[in-house]
Amino acid sequence: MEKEILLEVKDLKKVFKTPKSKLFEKQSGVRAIHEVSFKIYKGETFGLVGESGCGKSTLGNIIGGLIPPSEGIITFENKSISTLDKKEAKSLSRNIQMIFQDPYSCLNPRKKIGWILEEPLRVHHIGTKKELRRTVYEMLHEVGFDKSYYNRYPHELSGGQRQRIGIVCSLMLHPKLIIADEPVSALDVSVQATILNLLKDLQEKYQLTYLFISHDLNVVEYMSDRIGVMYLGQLVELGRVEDLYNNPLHPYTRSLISAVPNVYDDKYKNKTSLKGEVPNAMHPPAGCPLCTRCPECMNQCKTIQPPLIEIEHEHYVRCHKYL
Amino acid sequence: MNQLLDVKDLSIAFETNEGLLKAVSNVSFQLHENAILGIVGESGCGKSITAMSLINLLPSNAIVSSNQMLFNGMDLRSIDKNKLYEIRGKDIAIIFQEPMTSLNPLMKVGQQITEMIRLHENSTLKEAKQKTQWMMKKVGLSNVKKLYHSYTHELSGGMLQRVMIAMAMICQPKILIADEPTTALDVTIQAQILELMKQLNKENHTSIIFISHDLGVIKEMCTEVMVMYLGYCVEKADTSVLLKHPAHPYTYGLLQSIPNPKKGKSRLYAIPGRILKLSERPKGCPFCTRCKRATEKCRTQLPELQEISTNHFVRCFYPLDHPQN
Repeated sequence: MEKEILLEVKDLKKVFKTPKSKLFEKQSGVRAIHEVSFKIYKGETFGLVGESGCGKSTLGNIIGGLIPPSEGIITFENKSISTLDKKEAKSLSRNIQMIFQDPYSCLNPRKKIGWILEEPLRVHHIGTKKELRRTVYEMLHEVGFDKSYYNRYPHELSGGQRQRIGIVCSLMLHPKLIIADEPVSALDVSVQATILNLLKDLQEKYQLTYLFISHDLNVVEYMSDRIGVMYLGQLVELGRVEDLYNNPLHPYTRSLISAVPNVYDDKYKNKTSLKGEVPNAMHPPAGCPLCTRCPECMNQCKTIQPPLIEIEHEHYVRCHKYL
Repeated sequence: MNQLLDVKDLSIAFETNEGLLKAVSNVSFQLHENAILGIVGESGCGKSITAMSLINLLPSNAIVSSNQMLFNGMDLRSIDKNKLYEIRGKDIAIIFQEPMTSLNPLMKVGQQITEMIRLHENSTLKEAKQKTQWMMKKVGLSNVKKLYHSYTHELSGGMLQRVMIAMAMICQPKILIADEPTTALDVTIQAQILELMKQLNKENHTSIIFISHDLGVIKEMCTEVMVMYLGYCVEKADTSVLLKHPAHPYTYGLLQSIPNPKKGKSRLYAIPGRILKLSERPKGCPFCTRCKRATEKCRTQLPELQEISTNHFVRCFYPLDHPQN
């Protein structure tokens, strides 16, 4: 069966310009995203992992339409996003919604839960006041809240409850793609499991597609069908979860997986830990982004950037070792 | 093994506008020489303040009481201020969670470490400087001479955490309290820092009290673990025993709610309910509101901490025997 492509990203680049400090200085910039291409199929969960500053959230924000890309094409259901006019862009935003990391700061503290949840519907002029209220009641019920929560303020809720409200809020418009940017990293372990279960249930019920961004490899492995590993703004490895975890090809993926403390098994006992730290994104290395830390760095790594190539079915890697 | 620290029935309460708020109740633990004791729990369970109370780092509205608080034969409850200043930083050092906010942004990094030596040891500035640079090298910082004169904003999170560790270790403390030292760091940096702490533990025979919410990290680091919930110690055992045979329903729930690659994509076990606020602490077992096995007895009576096998303590009327079944 041919899988239907929901979203395709091609050669996406994003450069954040830094302010000039001298009048005739050449404009410089931080390379946040560099030549990222991938596809997301309908109904799957695509996981995006990487350390802080690798550009995973920026990528999520670009796809969610919060910041414009510098270069590259994003197509959603065979329509290019960047060429849309205002009206089309608005209707697109009905189909792509976001869940944010911090449940404490993403809800307006001065508005009631009901108001917050009605807002997306109001923005898109859907339904009368009465209908709005009914839809909100229904959706609240969906995630296990009763009607009384309609009139509550965010500060009355716990972190887990707020995150559930955040999830409901993204679901109000029945989107096709949900970008979940670290939805559980601010929560305690026991609450985290509840949210992950909820996300999975909702996916089944509404046939949602997730772009799941997280730095926690255990969580990403649990949630995703396919995973992209990012490092310094580049996609270094891309593949199905089983392939990636059982046979990690890129040295970065390997050390990332071995660095995660795991309660359950000692499979990765011999650690291939990386030396040093992530280089400054203002001055990335000329060749492979990992070349400053890679234990298997070769001569050509320092000067030539390796391309993303397919090693086995649906398993891509960006490394000179496999050329 | 020598017993370094012996705390019995530690209770901490806070005076607030709404009355006395009990945060920690009847927590007892021992720390042996060269051991790493882990304290696990979710936010608000009292794991940090338990450790902070040892060196009197709590806010002034805290009321600490305990039957015993012995450090190296010295009673920590009754020592005077000067003695406390002597111990704090020298014998019992601490690493905080956020290296970015716990260092002084207006002072050079090297000076902050040197300050420790100057406070606790009679050495000249030159000696102190040399020792600082030696320590900075030891915790894995490179280009030490330049780093000595940098400010905190010039360093990354991992480097700052190394500076914190250097600062804590410089006087060769007997006990190191590490309060979620890697929570703010990335996984690859976390692995490096954990490795460093283990190495320091081996070389200097420093005992560590390691506070974390991540059972994976605890497994990697600790010899013994104490699980806390709502201010009570609910389970205490050797790490391997606790992870294999958790006896308290809360510990079991915590372990189950971590995604397990072996179990594949089946639904995660989630502990029902939510974490209560300290002001809502139930009369009986603290976990009774979320426990499936809770009976009337659990709701009215507080279970005692009982030893179910050697060195395995549980605070539960109905401990789990073989949770695997």
